[in-house]
Amino acid sequence: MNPTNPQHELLVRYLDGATSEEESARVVEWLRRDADARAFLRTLSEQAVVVADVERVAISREQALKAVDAPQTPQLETRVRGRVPPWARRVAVAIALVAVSAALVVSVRTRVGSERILITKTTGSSRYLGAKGSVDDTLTSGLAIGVGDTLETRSCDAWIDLTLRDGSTVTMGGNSVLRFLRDDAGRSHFELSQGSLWVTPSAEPLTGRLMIRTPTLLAEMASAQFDLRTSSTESILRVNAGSGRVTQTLDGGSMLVTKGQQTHVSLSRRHGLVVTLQSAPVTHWACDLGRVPEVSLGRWLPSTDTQQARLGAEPLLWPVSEEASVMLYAVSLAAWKSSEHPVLLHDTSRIRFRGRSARAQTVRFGFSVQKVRGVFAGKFEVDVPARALGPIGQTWEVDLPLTDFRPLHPRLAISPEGLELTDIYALTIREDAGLEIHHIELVPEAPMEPRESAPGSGEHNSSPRSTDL
Amino acid sequence: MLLESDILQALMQWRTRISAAAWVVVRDAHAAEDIFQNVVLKALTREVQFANEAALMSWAFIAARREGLDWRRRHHREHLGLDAELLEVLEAEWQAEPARESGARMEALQECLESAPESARRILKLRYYEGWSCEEVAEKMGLGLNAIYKRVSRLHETLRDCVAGKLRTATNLGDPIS
Repeated sequence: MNPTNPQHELLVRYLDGATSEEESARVVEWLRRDADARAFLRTLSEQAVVVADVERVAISREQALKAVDAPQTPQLETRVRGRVPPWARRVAVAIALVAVSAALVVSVRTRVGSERILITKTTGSSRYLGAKGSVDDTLTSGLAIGVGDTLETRSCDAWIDLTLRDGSTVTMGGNSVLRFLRDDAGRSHFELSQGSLWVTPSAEPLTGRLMIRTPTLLAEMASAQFDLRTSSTESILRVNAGSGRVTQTLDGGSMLVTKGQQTHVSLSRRHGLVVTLQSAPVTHWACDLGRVPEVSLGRWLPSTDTQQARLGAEPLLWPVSEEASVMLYAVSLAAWKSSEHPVLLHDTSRIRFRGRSARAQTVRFGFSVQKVRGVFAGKFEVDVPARALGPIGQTWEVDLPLTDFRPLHPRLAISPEGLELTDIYALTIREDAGLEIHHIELVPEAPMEPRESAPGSGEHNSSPRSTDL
Repeated sequence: MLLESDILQALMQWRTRISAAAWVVVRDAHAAEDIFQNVVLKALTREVQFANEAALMSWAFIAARREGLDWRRRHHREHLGLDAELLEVLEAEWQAEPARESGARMEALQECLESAPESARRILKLRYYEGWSCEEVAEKMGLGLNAIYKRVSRLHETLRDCVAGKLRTATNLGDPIS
């Protein structure tokens, strides 16, 4: 083993604050007259900041693998000895939040060509549509996609992680369609025609630009951590770190969106592009079906004298394995389409559904969540038997405490406490019960007085009751 | 004049160097990252425009140094650090290096770090990520203080040599790491 350069060792001691006055003066003088000494100091300081970067990524990868349902103040809080400003921790977490594969960056770069993107994680039902017409419903991590290829996540609990050639991570949320486009300027270029995605830039110093099109906007981002949701008529882009330029498809108006800001771009809006501070979350939310022209799943039924908005279940073939599928009849809504604010869930909250069934059938109610300004965090469901809903053909209303919902992904979150509502749904399995939904509401606290339970509702602690028209 | 997107991209390319320059002042990797983020925010929100990338970088290093000195004052660590003249020399040397060359070096450095033995990474993590002093690292590792100084010093030299080796290999193959 070669002996260390004693001057390097002295510099390490100097930077540790452990040299005497005489030694410190010697170090300063050495640095002043010796370019190699300064080169070593520059090298050492670069190594120090890169070590911290690498450790941040490694820790977030560890957290992601453990998939702990922690709020966004994870282990960094305790590992770093209280010397990091809170916002810097947020940046560090943001940089690495979806970084299950971030440590693969270098190997990814060597394996994937300049126009290929690697799938590093896939969960739930998804589909690959190749540029030349091939179809594959068995996506696995390690596959690369090329220009013109399309990925679809086919349920709200499906998601796909992609690692770009610069090491950035793109996470596709549920019910999303993403196409990889050619870009002659060397940017990663996508079209998100529906659904949601989260982008976490590489922690590496050289990070490329990312361009994303939706039906309503074009976003050109540089080293930004952001999330984007879109439908055919509107998009919301929220920037949590870095910045980017957003151009509205409708009139070509363009604005810079920076950290902490968001823009909501709609084809139907008459005013120009507006950038605002990200909205504070709300704990009460009532979905006004009359104001939701697009739904994730369901069909609008003719209004009646007493019910203006009626959303009927539509069939959905649900793949339960590679060989088998089950038919669902479902209504599903995205919370962001009917709320300007993120909808925050607490264990003490309840969800109220009002609707009607034409045939006696157990109804499954559920919702999916994401971490606040983060990625998919799970899905929760509860079954309510037909007898608890009341007489067939009459309007019913159920108040379901969130604690009654069982987690489908307990590895991600065992409780919805502190998470953001993304999708909410009701469905029947195999048989079409003529299910229709009229009203959905998140009520922040449990009622002061217990409601009268409907007959047969003892299978859970919710308070379903029927309501005559 | 540089557009906001150009400014952001250029600063991200120089991120490690600007953060490292800040680290020399504050000797805290998280504070250095914090300072870099503040520099980015200032660059994007300040009214003065940058004629070119060189002007931006010159401003960014000065801004990072001032932020660092301010941080030192706020944390009562005025006694730390080099004088302004020496800091300026270091910054000038950092700026003299082409961005592409620096990028390849940083990439190689990450590779070297990721392939380093666990014990080496632990020492570096304790020292630079968790911010412990060498004395505290020595206690945690059950080693003498002088042994830690030697090991930290040797680790920096090893990483430097590893990076140089990777860059040489890449150059010989005609395929620079990028």
